[in-house]
Amino acid sequence: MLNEKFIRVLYIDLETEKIRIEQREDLLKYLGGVGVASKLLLENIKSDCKPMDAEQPIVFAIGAGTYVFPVLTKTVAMFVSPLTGELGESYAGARMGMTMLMAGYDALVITGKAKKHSYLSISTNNVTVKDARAIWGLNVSEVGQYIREKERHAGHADGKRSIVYIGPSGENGVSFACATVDTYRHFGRMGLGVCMGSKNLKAISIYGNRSIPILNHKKYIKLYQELYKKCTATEYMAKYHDAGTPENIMPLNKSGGLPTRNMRSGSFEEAGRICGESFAQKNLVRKMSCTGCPVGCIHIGMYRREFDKGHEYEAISVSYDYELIFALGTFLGVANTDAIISLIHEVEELGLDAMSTGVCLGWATEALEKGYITEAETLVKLRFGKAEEYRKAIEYLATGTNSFYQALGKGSRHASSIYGGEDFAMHVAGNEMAGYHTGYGSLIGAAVGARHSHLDNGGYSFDQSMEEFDEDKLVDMIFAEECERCMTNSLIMCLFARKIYDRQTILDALDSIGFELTNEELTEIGRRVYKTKLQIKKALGFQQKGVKLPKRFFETPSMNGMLDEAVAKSMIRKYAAKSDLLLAENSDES
Amino acid sequence: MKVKFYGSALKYTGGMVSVNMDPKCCPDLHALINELAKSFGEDFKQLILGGETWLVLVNAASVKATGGLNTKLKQGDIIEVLPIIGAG
Ligand code: SF4
Repeated sequence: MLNEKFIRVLYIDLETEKIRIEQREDLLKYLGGVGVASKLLLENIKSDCKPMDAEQPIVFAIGAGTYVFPVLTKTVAMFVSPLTGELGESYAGARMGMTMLMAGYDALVITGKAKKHSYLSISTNNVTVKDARAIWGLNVSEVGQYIREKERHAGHADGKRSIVYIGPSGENGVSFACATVDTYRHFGRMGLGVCMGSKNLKAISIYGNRSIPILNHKKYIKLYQELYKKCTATEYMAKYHDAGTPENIMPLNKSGGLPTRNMRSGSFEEAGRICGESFAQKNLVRKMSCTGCPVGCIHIGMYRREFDKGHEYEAISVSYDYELIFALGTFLGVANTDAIISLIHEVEELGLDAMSTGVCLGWATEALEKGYITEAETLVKLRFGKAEEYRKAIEYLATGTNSFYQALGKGSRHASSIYGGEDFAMHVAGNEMAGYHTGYGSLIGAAVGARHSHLDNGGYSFDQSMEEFDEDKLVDMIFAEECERCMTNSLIMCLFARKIYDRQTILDALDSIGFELTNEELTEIGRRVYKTKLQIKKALGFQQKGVKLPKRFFETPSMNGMLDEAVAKSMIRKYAAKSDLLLAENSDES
Repeated sequence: MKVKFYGSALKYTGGMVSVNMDPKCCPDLHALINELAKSFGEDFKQLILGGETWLVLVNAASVKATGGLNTKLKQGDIIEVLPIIGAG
């Protein structure tokens, strides 16, 4: 907690509606963010229970520098993932970090299942479990509107309140249901939405209005200004603001790393129609920022749709970025910006993770084509490029219309284990792939990464920077970066800003708000946090060595040429040996 | 030979998406960048030379594998300048 020598944790039991607050000095060695959340998850998980068991915890935590410095905006959610069955970790920006800080909580631990459909209202002096029966079953935008109206705080602007909420997918047991934050941000991956749904928890509203002094104001303001300048007046963040991450489409396409049509190919002949420039020209209407960020990378795109006969139109706007365009565009062969926005809108409203949705539908399309499943199961003729069919399928997926869609709603690994086609079900350890087929860095990085995400260790970026492939060196780089990100995610920095926050900047920033740490201690924190995550994964039965990768990864050339399964296996083994060594280290934590 | 620009590279070219260059004055990539800098300015040159944020392809292959700035150029080559992939 800023200016205090403890981490303030709010525990909420939804079943008994009892709350307690603990001020924990022992958690300071985890710094904040993912460090604190990992430790709290480890303390509270029930390793012998299913992911959606009422007793499993959901943990949220803000970082040591959240909202205090530019671009340190994120909140982490940790849980047992219903999609992978092991460690679940997801990040979201918007206002949530700021409101938790202002409400006076570094972390929330939510356990139990509410007796009826509910939402949580949290403020500095009050935590209430409120009736949500009226909004159960409603789409995401309707829920947001309802809670915004209900949770008005007299005399205060809405900007001091943040809302996390789920759509029907989270109620219907879809393993990759997401949780939306303040309309345009999401805890997208790994199924936080369904964890909330299984607790009868439709939404969480957090309101904070404390005023917190900065003790060393002179030092702080000088550093803040330097950082602000770096964010706004240098090249570091420019691309995220300009066309945003959709700018990745063209370089990935040109270099053969753009997963297309269920990754049968690494390039999309229509990429130019759905690249960052095309979205900017046709659909971009404004840019927004998470609270506490001067960059403004959130691109809002709009399209006009006819919702009824008789010239009845409405404007639909959603936030778009590269991953969404990959998952609902290139991966499904959809080459029209309006169509992609309409699919994004559909997943948003129903509360699904767009990436898992697109990748699951890619598998279903190919499985239908090859006869593993029939149209009697898919209910629509799924074909690459046909957005309207995909729109209907998304609805069936969110509502679990039949047993096929219920199985697909448990992820591509699960569905392919029932219907076949495992070789082209594009998940990594149960989590649907990200939009980078760049080489061993991205593939092995996701296989061994704590949450099987490209963001665990940025493997895709080593695929670009490594001059000559060196298996051992790459394993070492991935491991080191995973530890490093455990530290930076304890701050919690938006990963777009990682080049701005070098080690010295982090030390200076922490020092100006009262954390006196050395460079070695930062390294130690990273290792400690990673070790804690590995302990969680082990407790939940996960083994790095046991990861099996779908054949398609070795059949479609990557940005760095064809990948060899034997090399991939060897790298996973080497990485697992390093993880085992870390787990066996006899240090003071956990 | 033709040089094409994509994404935020267009900021440095004043929105120009491609230019034709005479291979005689640009025998390699380094010379080409110097030549382009005459029109697009030092910022453009520094960015490419900095190397961290740009991907340069010659005939669809990354110059990383063909000698970087020393990559030889010839009549008919297509040179593409793209931002590198960044996703956090
Ligand atoms: S760069 Fe974008 S995602 Fe990151 S904090 Fe800023 S607005 Fe949010």
